[in-house]
Amino acid sequence: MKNGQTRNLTEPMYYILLILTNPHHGYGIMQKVHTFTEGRVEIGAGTLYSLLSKFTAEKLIRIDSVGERKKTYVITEKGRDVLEKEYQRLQRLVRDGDRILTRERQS
Amino acid sequence: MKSKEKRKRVAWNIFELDYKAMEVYLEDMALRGWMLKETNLFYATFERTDPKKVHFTVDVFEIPKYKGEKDPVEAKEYRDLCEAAGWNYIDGKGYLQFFYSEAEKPPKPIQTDLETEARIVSTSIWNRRVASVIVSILILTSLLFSHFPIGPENLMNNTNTLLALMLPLFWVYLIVVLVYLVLVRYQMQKKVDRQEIFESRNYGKARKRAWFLGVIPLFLGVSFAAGMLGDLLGGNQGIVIALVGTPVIILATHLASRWIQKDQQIKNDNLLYNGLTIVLLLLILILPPSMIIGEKGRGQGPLPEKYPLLSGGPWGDFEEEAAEEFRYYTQSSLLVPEYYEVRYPVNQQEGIYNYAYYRAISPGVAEYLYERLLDERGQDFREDHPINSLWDVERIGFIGSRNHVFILQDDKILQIRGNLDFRDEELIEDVERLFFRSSQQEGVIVTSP
Repeated sequence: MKNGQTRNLTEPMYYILLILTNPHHGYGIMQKVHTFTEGRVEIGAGTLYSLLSKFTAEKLIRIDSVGERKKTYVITEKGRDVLEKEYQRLQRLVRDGDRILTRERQS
Repeated sequence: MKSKEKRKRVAWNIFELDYKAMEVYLEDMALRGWMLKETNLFYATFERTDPKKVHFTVDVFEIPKYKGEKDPVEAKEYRDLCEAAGWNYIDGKGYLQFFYSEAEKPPKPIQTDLETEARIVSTSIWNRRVASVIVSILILTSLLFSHFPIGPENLMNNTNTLLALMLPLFWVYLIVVLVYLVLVRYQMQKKVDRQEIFESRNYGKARKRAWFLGVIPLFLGVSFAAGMLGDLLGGNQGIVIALVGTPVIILATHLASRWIQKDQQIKNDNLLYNGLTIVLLLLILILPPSMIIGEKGRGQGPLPEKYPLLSGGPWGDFEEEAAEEFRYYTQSSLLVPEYYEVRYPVNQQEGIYNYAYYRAISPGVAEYLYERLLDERGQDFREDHPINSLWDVERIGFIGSRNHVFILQDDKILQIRGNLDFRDEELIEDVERLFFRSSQQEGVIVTSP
């Protein structure tokens, strides 16, 4: 990955990309993340705006449509790759955790 | 009964990096019946309302990298998002954006990711402040080298004297500010690492911090202004015009670039703005102040009667027809309250001679000035030199080919340059009588016997 580009995704980053597998506008993303994670992950408007700008600049997402006051965003192929890699990474973490923690519980 | 004030302005005596402390202040004002209505870089305007509990949030918004557009589309998008989340927009102050909510429970914070917030604060405020402080330190360091020891030119007007005396103080101040900025960034990173929130900061402490770090530039600014005023009243307009000219040209550049971009609807005008600024700054640096304000910018013309005119005898005859070429310059400062310089051609065969007279506030300052004048290229006559026994003065020195002599007596210095015999008794008598024996020179003209 190029220098300065997103490496491991933070939780808000991960959920924004995940939600943008379908087109959403800014406030829709905030609501969707809230309901999807049952309020566990909250994304503030400033944080969301900053991350959307960053992802757009890094071509992880693109503008899908521009309405009167709202833009909708959607994930790009590159963004999907990053999301997929993060998903694989998280799965490996869970598997590794499982191997050790389950063994501990069994012994 | 006196009607109640409806609006009031309060100056922001706080650093941008303490923006979280502003929230506390604004909430306190609302509780006291003052609601923020608008704000700019210098002050906040409040309007009288019923005292109420209001939640405020001050956020840092990364302004897109072009200037001039008052309300770029990105800023609107950002505000719309914040408003959709329940934060009502009030106004912006540079990078700082002010929102409020009257809901009982405050809406979700605008920034929820510490790392993102730290990055925004760093790129928007911290990096710029650090860069400007480092550039200022570098400029001041070079000025320190060029201004010390304080040279005769700097002693001759209040503005330059104060500037030279205050440079070290300002240099230390900038180092303190740099250390403070580094500490703020370190603490911010520590909070990110520990996943602690950037809580609202103590407003009282923030104000004290701003006062502590702001009092030095304020003191410097007031002293500098007083120095310039003193020079202006004392007739040294040249230095004032030269110093005031620089900020005026910078302001003109800024206004011109704003006007051009408004006229042509240029969005990305960084190049234009920076280009204009660099060209004008280079012009200022290349053009000596004398080109802007005329030669020395001080009094010129016939010598006023109160200054002694050396003419006749060993000085040669002053020629009336040469009067047009006659020049005198006067200047004064707190440290050297009396100074004038006279230049005129005596006659074509003997060439030109000139002299300068200095009276300092004390013999100590006079000696310091004398040494600085000699520092440049000269030295005292050796103790066993016959000239020492001829002159009844404290010190006498010369530069180069000994046709440029410096004389120190009490708080006075006389500098004479010309093809003269400085061992001539008549010449010595004239100088000692006119400049060192009389307490006040009043319309004395030496004429040939």
